[in-house]
Amino acid sequence: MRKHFGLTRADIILLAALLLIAGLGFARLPRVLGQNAVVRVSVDGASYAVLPLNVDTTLEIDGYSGGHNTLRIENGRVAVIAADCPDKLCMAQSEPLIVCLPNRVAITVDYE
Amino acid sequence: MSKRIAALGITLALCVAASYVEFLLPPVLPNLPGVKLGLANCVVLVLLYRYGTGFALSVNVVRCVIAGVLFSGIWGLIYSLGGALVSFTAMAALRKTKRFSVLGISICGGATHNMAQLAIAALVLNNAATFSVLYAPLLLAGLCAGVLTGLAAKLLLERLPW
Repeated sequence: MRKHFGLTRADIILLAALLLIAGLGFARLPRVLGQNAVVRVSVDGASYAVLPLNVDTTLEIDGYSGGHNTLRIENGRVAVIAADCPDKLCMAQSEPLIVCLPNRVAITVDYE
Repeated sequence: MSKRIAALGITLALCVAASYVEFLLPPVLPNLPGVKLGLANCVVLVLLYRYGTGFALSVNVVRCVIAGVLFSGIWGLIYSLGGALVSFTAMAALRKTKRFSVLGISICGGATHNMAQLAIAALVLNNAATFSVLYAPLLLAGLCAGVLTGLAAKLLLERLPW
């Protein structure tokens, strides 16, 4: 086993395990850092709602001229899960900015 | 016996000198306090292999006290002593299993040292959030430092005549 800088099998397993633990930590760092982040919803330029990013909720948004969008906040991610606008572009977008032009809805995430 | 006493003095001085060199260098990452190479641990590793657990532990504890009093103050002393004791226990335990090389033992030492210091900091500050934010970068920093000091210790062990 004296090759690769004299690393043994146990060395490699230890190194891989520690790298994995560090990697997992880095993967959940955005969510930890986002604990004070807020989701701002505006309709036609006026503030409609401000929600914490770290609380899972669903919000019905009454958009401009009778349009509707359904906002879902889950696991620190933001998405529009339903919309009655014709193009449904908003449902394909994600944070930090989601815009629905027909309903004049803007959703932004502030990581402060 | 006298040879051991001489070795004790020389290696202790070497550890304190290594700590002083690190104290003089600018921080590796300015916004991550406590990220450093741990050159003194390289000396401790060599001692662990050549003089055994007891000898290495004594040098390790005394060098922490001396370097702490000289360079970093009482709180720095508590952090470095805590990190040193936990990482030394882990390294000595891995060495006892005879399955790891110096490099693996050093990597484990670097990682556990940083994790222990972070745990102490989280306890003192009574703030678990600090822990969850800092543990990944500090773990990675400990790994890297462990690889570097481990390589140095490996080269030393292959070449030192005593």
